[in-house]
Amino acid sequence: MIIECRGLEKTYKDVKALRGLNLSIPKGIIYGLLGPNGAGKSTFINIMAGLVKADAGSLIVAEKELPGEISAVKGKMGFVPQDLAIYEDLNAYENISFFASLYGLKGKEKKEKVERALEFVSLTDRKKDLAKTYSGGMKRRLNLACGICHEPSILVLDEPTVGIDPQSRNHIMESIKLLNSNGMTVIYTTHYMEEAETLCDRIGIIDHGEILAEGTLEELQKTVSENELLLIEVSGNLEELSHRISTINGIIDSHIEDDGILVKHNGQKGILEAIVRHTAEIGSEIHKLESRMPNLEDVFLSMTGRTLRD
Amino acid sequence: MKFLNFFILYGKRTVRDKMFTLIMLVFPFLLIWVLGSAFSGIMGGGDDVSEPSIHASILYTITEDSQMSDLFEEHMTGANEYFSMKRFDDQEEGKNKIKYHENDAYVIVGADKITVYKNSYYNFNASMGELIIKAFADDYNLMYEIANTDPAALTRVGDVTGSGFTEEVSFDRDRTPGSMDYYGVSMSTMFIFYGMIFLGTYFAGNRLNKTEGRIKASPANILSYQWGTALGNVVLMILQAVFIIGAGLIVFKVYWGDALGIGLLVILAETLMVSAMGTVLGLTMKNEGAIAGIAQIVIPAIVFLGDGYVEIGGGGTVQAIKKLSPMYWINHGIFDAIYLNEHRTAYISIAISLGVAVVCTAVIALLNVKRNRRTANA
Repeated sequence: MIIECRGLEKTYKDVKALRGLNLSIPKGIIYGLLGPNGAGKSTFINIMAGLVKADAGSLIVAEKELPGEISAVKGKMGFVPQDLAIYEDLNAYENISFFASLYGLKGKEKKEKVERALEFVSLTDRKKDLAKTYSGGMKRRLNLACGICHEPSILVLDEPTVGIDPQSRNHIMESIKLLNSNGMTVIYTTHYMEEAETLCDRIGIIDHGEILAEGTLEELQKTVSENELLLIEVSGNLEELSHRISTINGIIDSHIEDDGILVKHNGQKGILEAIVRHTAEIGSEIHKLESRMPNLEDVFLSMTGRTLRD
Repeated sequence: MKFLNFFILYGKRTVRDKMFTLIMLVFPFLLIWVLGSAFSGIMGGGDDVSEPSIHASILYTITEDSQMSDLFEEHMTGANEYFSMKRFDDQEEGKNKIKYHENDAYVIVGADKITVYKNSYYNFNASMGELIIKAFADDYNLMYEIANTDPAALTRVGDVTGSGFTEEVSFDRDRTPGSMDYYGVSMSTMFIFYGMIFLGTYFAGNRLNKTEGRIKASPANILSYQWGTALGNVVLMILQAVFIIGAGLIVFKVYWGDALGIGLLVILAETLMVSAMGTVLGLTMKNEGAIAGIAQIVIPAIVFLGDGYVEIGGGGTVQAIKKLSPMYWINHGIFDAIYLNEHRTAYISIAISLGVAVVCTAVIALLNVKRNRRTANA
């Protein structure tokens, strides 16, 4: 394990940000920490980066115990904060070059690595332009480049795609996959379920400072897969229909989602017929009926009773 | 040397800031010109003391009892709204008190001669004192001559010109600061205080834009960040001062006499003090607005009380408050060196500035200790 944490606790004034967080992250994978805002993701990342001190618990990164041996770990870690931590009055080259120098790079080696980082985030053409002239997506990419220029073995990304266009998001996600394929361990926090699903080898679902579930996507899906899901696109009174469906024998949950109703059931016979009957009784019309596997949103919902967006 | 990276970064970012160019290079130049021109009529030279609104403090010594000394004591030592006289028998100490501007003039009354010592730089009060003594001497001359030739005519005399009794002894009688000289020095030292805002907002800005977090997450030591940045400010402020002094010397012919070296030392100490204060502000204030707000109150007060724009009169309390202004001790240190060839005030100024810098450094160290308790950084 490249990261091992046990019973990590942190309280800010009256708010308990971490409540005995336990986590084991193997080397060389992309590990996603998925949870809503305020779940404790950034606190964990900040403890790892040495920006915040934990109140209790232990954290071992690359066989070094933090915070005591943080100096030995810092050079091996790349840190991409949630906020754009760049100098807007410097150009891309100067930004990356400055942060590279903090990791001891100099001369030809620094120049080569800065150029490589610029190329990696597709900013070579704009490297001489001041960062303040960049779009939000370009700034995000520069933010990433500043964290990877020294080619760390562990890359910590705290919600790196917040508030950017889909194109830049895809670019960043592809970049992260590429970095990982070169052997870099990536810790990736997000509250976007789709990102965690497509990017991460293992995922930890965090809420209220605790890991609720942890594993591969398939493993997590299995935690709710005994129940099946039906997504019904239907016209008419959705609230009334959802209420009626919830009274059917074998239905575990029924709630409105987007333009339809998401139904969780135990697979008992006769459920589909009952749903069709209730729909007809209230004069509604089914446009589409889809049976699907549970996603991370469903996993989170089943564990907390809330959606990730709540 | 990560220290140098922070040093260079501060310089690069600050010089690129248009506000820096405007405030630190253009404004001082303009102010020397505007204020120097505006006050050229009422500053400089001992002859044009126009408004004796300042209360002159005069010391005197009577070396030999005579008719003149008796008359001097009788007529001059009474209470007066414009001046106060105090007998002081140690002649050397009396001269020193004028040198170090503890009093405005020192008068030695002999049997047939009055010698007035005054401080040329502080010419309002000194000239006031000189005029008072001169008036007495004129009257005495007149009475003396008339009494010798026609004692009966004493009552008819109403006018006289000239005096053969007084001798003015200025410590640098060849030179008193003109308005350009005054503002050339004053603006060179005044704008360094604005370096406090630039440095303070730089630290606060780094915290707000989260680059500080990225720096702390790197292997760079936090002390190299703070010291590198603060010393970047010191160098920048020194270069700025050299530019203003140079421009003043070339364009406005500002007089620095033989005191350019000691003046630069005073300014160097000032930049160290200002940079240390700026660092404390940057580490303690929540945002850039708070720093700018504080600086916009504190700096004008420092400048105003320190005679940055015009010399402030007033009683003992005002004079005591004035001495709390760093600008007061810094400017007086330089002016004394230029016009009195006296370096003691400059050394005191340097010592105070360095003392404040040391106190601020101790505060920074305490803040770092406090911060280390909250974070995992070494």
